[in-house]
Amino acid sequence: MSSSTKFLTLKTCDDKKFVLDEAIAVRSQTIKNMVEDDCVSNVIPLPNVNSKTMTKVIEYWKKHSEEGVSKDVLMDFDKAFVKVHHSILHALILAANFLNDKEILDMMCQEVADRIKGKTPEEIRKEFDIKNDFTPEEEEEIRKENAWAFE
Amino acid sequence: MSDSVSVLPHEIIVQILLRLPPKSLLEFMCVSKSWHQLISSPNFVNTHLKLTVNHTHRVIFSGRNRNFKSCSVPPVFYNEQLVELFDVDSPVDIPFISAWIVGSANGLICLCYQDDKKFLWNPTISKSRELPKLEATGYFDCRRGFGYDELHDDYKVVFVHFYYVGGNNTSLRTVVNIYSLRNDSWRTLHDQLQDTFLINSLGKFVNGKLYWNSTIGTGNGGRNLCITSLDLADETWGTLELPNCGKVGPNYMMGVVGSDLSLICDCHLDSTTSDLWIMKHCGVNVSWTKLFTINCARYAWLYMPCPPTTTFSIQFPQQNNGELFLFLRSAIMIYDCSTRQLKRTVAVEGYNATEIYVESLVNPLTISG
Repeated sequence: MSSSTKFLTLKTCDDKKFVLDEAIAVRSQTIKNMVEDDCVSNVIPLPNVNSKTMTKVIEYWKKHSEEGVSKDVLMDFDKAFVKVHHSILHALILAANFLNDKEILDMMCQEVADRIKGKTPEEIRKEFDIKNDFTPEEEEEIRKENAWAFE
Repeated sequence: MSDSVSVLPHEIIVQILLRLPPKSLLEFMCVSKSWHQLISSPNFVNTHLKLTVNHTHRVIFSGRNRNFKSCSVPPVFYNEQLVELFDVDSPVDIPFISAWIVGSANGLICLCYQDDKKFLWNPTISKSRELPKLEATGYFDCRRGFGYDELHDDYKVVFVHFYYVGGNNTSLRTVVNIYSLRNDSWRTLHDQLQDTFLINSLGKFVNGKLYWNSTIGTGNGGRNLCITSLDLADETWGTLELPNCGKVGPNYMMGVVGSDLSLICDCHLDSTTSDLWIMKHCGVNVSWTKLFTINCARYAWLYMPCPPTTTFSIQFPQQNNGELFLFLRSAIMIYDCSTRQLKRTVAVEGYNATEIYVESLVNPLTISG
């Protein structure tokens, strides 16, 4: 019934190689396009993803490709999956963005959103490394306009 | 790559911010100039609106002292105790004038003070805009409606005035006034509805159209019950036949289930034991399907005047715990989905549950032509 399993080799930016079933690797739209365009010769380079991050991504892909896994098990898996330090969270977002895996990207963006929901603007600037380019007067003006949101 | 935090590209920041509730976004406007610009851009506001994860529904309550309070819908399902109400600042504070809530769409509420002062108001961001005056006198009755025109990304308020004309052979004349937020002006249309009388004082807004229960003259002196709709995009009127659900009646009330036009019909004579039918309007084809039946109709009938002038709305909780939420002007009823029995009624002393709205960033002051 099934044709012989095809494997792909992915190479991360730190020169680690991952051999993966093609059926699983094509969860990445980027890899899928490469496979469909027939431009996969031997090794697919992933210049924007490190091995640590790729290990996490593959862990997710494998779990979500397993047969007969119940919805509840997957939900618990996802819950545990997003419980990572925010540097890893950001790395996973960048990897999911490069690999064009909307499922992981959406989940990770939601996780960041949930984490920053209750933070102050100052904490946000720190978290995202953003420079405050408002003058104190301008900032006060905007705060005043939405004063009730700060209650 | 080290463990240091990588800077996320702009499109990812947008994706993250789109998943935040309006309250956080208002706070984050002062993070930086680019965040301020992004969060206030119409494009962001509309995309934010379309992402269903943000759709926290709230109920607005009108108080006897003409004040408003609101509460979030989910706790209404999960808390058996009294729901927590929050004060909402209304656009005008005139204690002696009664206020109507005409309807809500995309988080905007249309508010009227004795048909004289009209406002489009977003309680979530505490912004409101007063509508220009509408000159109309001498009418004997007035019907109102409010909704969203997706085609033109516009919000429209509809006032339909009915006049008696002629001496011996009195006939009905209708003047339709439509306000467009984009143009910030009223347009008056004459002779729109031929021999049609709208029953509900407030039209029900569902998927781009306003709906009213109505009667239409048959030409030989009789009048037929039906549903009249106004498409807010092309401003054309249409009619819908009522579902055929039995020999008697129907006594019915119009409303919305999820996001579909629906009717609760009582097709039996004995209303204390009768079933309550919810009919669903299915897409383009004008057909009615029985969705489900609710027992214990007698509780609902208490709130159901006849002829049916009010409307209802049914919400399902996001995490379905087998309850559904029947919202009637003045009452909220929680039903058990499996037994179809009324579990409890949510009532707040001194306040009427008036309308359901979503939390959104839509700013009535920044929408213009």
